Amino acid sequence: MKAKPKQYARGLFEALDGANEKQAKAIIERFVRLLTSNNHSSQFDRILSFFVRTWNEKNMIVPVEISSAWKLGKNAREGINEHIKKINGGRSTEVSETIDESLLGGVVVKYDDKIIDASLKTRINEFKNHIAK
Amino acid sequence: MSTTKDFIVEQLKAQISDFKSEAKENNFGRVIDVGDGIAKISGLSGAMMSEMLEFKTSSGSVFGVALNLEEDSVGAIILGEFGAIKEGDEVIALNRILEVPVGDELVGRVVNPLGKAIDGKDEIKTGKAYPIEKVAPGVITREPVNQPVQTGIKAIDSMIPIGRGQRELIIGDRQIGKTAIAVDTIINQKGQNMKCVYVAIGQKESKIAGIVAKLREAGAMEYTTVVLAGASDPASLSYIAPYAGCAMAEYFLDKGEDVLIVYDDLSKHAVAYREISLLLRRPPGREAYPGDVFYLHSRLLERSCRLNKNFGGGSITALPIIETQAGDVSAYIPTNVISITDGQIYLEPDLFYQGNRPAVNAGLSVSRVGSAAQTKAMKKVAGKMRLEAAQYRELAAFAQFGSDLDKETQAKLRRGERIMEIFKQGQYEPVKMADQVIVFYCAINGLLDNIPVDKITPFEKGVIEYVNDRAPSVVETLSKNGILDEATEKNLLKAINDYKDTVDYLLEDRSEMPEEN
Repeated sequence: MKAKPKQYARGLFEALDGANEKQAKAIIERFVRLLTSNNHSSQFDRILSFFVRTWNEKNMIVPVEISSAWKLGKNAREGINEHIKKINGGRSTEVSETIDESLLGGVVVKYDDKIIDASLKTRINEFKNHIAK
Repeated sequence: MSTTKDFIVEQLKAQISDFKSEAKENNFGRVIDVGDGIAKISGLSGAMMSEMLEFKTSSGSVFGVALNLEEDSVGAIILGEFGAIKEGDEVIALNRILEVPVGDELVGRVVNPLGKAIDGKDEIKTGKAYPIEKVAPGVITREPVNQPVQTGIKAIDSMIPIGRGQRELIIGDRQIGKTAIAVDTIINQKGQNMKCVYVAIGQKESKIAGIVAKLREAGAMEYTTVVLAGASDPASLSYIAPYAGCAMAEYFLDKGEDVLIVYDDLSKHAVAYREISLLLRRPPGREAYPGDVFYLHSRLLERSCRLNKNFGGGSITALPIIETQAGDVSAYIPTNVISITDGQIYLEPDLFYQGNRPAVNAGLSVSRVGSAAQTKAMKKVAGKMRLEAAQYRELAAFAQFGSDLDKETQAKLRRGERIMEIFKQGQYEPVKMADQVIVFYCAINGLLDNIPVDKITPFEKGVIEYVNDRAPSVVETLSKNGILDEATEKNLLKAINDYKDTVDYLLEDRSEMPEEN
């Protein structure tokens, strides 16, 4: 039976459940050896990304990516955090920020597979289309 | 003049204050695989079937449609140039099913299946957009077909009449005159209160340019829209072209108008769908077509209907075209579409090369609506035409025995030859219904029996001109009321005989005539 990356990731997650650091190291070593013996080590990238996803799911963490044209102030960042927490029903967030000057202003917030585009560039585009009608 | 500076400033201010922009939450995903017009996208967990997607590429936005919803990814077809899309590009779901602009602004234009103008004129801005996929009207909303679509082609209007709301398949080999029949029908809709939509699927753009020029010359572009997915366009555009054309026709249907839509041709449509399905890794079936190729065409053709008064009373008449290989009507796609449509017009290569153009095989052609879609006058004269043409076909094999046959058979053969000669018609020369009735009346009442076969065509032209000139009341009764009552018949007979007296090529005695071949 061919094991898919998702199944590997789930298996690893369950194996690591409740293990301390030393046990975790041993488990991971055995996992890598299993992968190599099944000739599936080429799938490692995908397994890793599925693992991260499963971990986040089970521990109720949402990785959030915020792009803004300049560095966000404390108030803005807290406001966005609150908003995301509200939408996601109290899950904790892991925020990473990037600067993207082409947005001209406002923010673009990406989390899970949702995107909230509140950037100035998009608003100007929408306005342009609205006037064109 | 209302466009003063103040007025414009007022308008701008009003528009700006009206403008509300909200940051909405959209589903998004990333491209993990792209090529051959197909993209595989991860994320987009809330995507709907046939939802419109927007690919954000470095050179602008490209649109796509989600077709394969799998556990971890979404397979989408790209409606446009896929060269700019890279792996890792963002894709946003637009929360609406694929829709195309519809409206009166499309009449007279040549557009691509997404509603963009490709005839070099102004951009098209319409107020409404209809989804391309729609559930066909239900049973209660429909009404039986009883109004005719005058194709202007004698062979069709007499023996295989088409009604408003019917689906009539035009089927034949390549280069046999299928598109010619459709184009002639569109040209003849002038003044008939019909809008026309011509959907070209996978056709050569040069061919379509020629057709548009011809339609413009005949004044048909005033009521026709051309939807073109050319041969060099991606298969995804060919796939949605007929549905887009049908959506544009449904706009007029909802207004209570009658529409004629031509799908040229559905064989190329099935091939484009096969291409997309195979690239999306859907399992192939017979002839490598996907399993739902019947549903592909049935849901398209079911949208052509006649609605009853409570729902507007409009209709969409569909003329799908199928190209067969070597006359094989029992192949997969032809049999599928034959079982969906309300009849077919079968064009044969043998008839074509013998000079009978349009090469309609009246024996294998069928119209399941039949004489319910004919005016009373036409019904009177055409019923006998069909019978006599059928009898001629039966006897044609004996024609080579010449004088070994009895007088009756010879008479039938002579009559049949003249009828076949009547059915010959030039391209772009549609004949009005009243004129057709005049010609058929001559044929079935033996008035052509003493005219040599090679003089039938000039006689036909002559008698039509003569009756229109000298007996306009006859033509008026026929075209306005569509009936051939006794008085009109008498006048018509008199006019025809008068004309016959003026021609010099009448034969003396029928029974002494040498056999003509």
